[in-house]
Amino acid sequence: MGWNSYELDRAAQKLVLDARQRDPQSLNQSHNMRMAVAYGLERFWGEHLRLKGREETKSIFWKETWDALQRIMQNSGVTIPNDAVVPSNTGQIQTMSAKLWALPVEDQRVAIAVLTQLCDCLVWWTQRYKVRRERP
Amino acid sequence: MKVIPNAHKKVPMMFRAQVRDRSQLQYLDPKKKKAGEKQDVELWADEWIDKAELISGENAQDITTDTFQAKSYQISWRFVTNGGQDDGMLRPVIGASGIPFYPGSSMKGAFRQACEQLEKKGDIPLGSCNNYCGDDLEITPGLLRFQGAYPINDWTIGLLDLVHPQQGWQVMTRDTNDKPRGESAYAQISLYQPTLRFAISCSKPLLPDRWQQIWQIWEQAIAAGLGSKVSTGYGQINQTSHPIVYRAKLKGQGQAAKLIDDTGEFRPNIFRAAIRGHALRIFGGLTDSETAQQLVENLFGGIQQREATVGLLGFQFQASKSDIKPFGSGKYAQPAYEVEGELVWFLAKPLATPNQELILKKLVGKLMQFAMILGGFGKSWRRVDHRKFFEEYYEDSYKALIGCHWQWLGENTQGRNVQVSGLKQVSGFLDNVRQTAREWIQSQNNPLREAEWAQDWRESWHPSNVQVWGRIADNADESAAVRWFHKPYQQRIQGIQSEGSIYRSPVTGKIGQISLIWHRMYPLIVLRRDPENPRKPIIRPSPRYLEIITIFPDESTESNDFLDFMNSHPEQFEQLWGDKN
Repeated sequence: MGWNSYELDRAAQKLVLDARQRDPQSLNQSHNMRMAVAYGLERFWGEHLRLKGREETKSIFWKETWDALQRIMQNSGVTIPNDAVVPSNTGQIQTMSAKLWALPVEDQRVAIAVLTQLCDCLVWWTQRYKVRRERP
Repeated sequence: MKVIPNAHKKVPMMFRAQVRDRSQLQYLDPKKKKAGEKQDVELWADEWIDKAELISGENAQDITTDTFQAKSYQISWRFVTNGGQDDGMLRPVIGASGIPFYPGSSMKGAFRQACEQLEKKGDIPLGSCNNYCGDDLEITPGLLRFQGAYPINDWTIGLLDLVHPQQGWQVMTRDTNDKPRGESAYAQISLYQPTLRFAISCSKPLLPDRWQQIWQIWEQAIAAGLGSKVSTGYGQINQTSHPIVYRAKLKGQGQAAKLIDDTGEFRPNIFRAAIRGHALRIFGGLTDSETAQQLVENLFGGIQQREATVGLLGFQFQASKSDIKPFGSGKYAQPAYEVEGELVWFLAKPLATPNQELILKKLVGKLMQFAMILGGFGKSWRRVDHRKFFEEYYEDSYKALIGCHWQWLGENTQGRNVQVSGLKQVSGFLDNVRQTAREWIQSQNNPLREAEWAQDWRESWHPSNVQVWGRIADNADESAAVRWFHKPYQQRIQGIQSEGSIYRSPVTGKIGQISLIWHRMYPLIVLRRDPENPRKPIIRPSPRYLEIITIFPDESTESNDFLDFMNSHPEQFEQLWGDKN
């Protein structure tokens, strides 16, 4: 088996640029993501639901990052659950959290390691692409 | 590796998705309360402190060496610092072993600020600040390392702090069944009366007098209040380094606030809530609603358009006595407080121009007197304390605790604050309050637009929106109006008069709906001029009370009937203020 970069850095760059195009102010979520990883997959995944409807552009940024994680992990042969969930639907939320915590512990650890790296990349690109607020 | 069955049900709150039905820390779920289940934030706190450690005070004595020193200070009420980790909730930084932690970086910030002020005033030599804290321009490190603080008493008690914003509901909303958005209670985590041990080290040995100076600067810093929400009474020690605007000694009793676990707490921020609310009522009767809200925002701070602002005024309450006792039984069981102490309002930030200071002092004094003459503080503040003025009511113990009672304490406070010692002075006092508010509005460069007063608010203080009625009661048992809230004020006589009652009507309000009436028994104190010392009046306490009814008529039949009744001058009630109808 040859070496595979999985192109985390490229994925992160695209996420950041897309977020920047939607709403430059949503970019700072990268730092929150990097911190939230420490709390594990479920909490990271849940954040887009918390923000849904209230701060839509931030919510989308979190969800797209989760989608990216899922794709990358899929390439390496690990399936990360990614159901379509409506915030008001408790059943769907319960099902997703059950699935996440039912993942083999090894897979959870690898996923968290990859997510950590992905978020580091997000922070790096965010610092490059940040749009400064205009000073009055 | 072993698979844990149903792992998702065993995960601590902290690691769950921060959404409804998984872990919603800020939100208090009424369904859970009803079902007697713990709220998410309670589970979160249990999970936290279950594994957290305490530092015993014995192992954390003050230390005085020439390179390291540590000292402890106690916060007088609650202390809130937000680590910024969780978006949904305010909670402290949690350090090693689960112990909450006040970061050294915050400590340095507070120290630097105090140091710069002292330097500016010339109290310490120029350059001290850069010497201690480092110099940005020269990139030289400071002498001191700020190590932050840990609590050394049992900080795990009373962590859950309910915050209940309700200004819109109390003052502005017409239909009080319908609560304005964003005014439901929420939970935050704050430390209750923690003793914090602060530590500072130095890169080289210092002489004792230098250390003494360092701690003096630090005391100046903490006297300004530590952490967040300092103008709402959090993070205060028993002294302030801010200029004092107003001080008075008070004594009160009433229904205590309940924490999430239903234990009682005397929460000094009731003073701020009351004064803030009254300021809004009074400005609302003098200018348009937007300007009124802006004026209150400038005075007390707040959150408008999601941008938090610090107000001009902060406060401290130093209790010299504070008891919480249970009252009532069964489902009527309530914690009740008895408290005495000194309330201080201070200037939390500089005024735009120093000549505003006098008028601000006058304004705060008037607002305090207004609150004391017409109402009270805290829960059930619109009613007199039934234990004191309607003892028979509790002959059957299955009754709710109603009302509160507050009075001025001590001759100095009384001499300065007794503005009303008879019926005749009430109208003059109320005009004076409004006049002072007008002067404040003008000093803020806001035009007076009295014709555009906030007419759509329920309780704006305008003569056509409110009537004040009063009589003299000979003693505490002579309250005439207290009974009207519990049975008809007028008996039905066949063919002569119909029954008149405000009992259980929207006029008197009920749970979830605010009453149109305030009722107060204000203890009469008579001031006599002392010919020997014209500056200090002679204070004569009296057993009598000024019984005051404040009513905001709403055009309903019950309210109109009640006004007709009042106009028949029952029990010598006379209208003291407001347009006659």
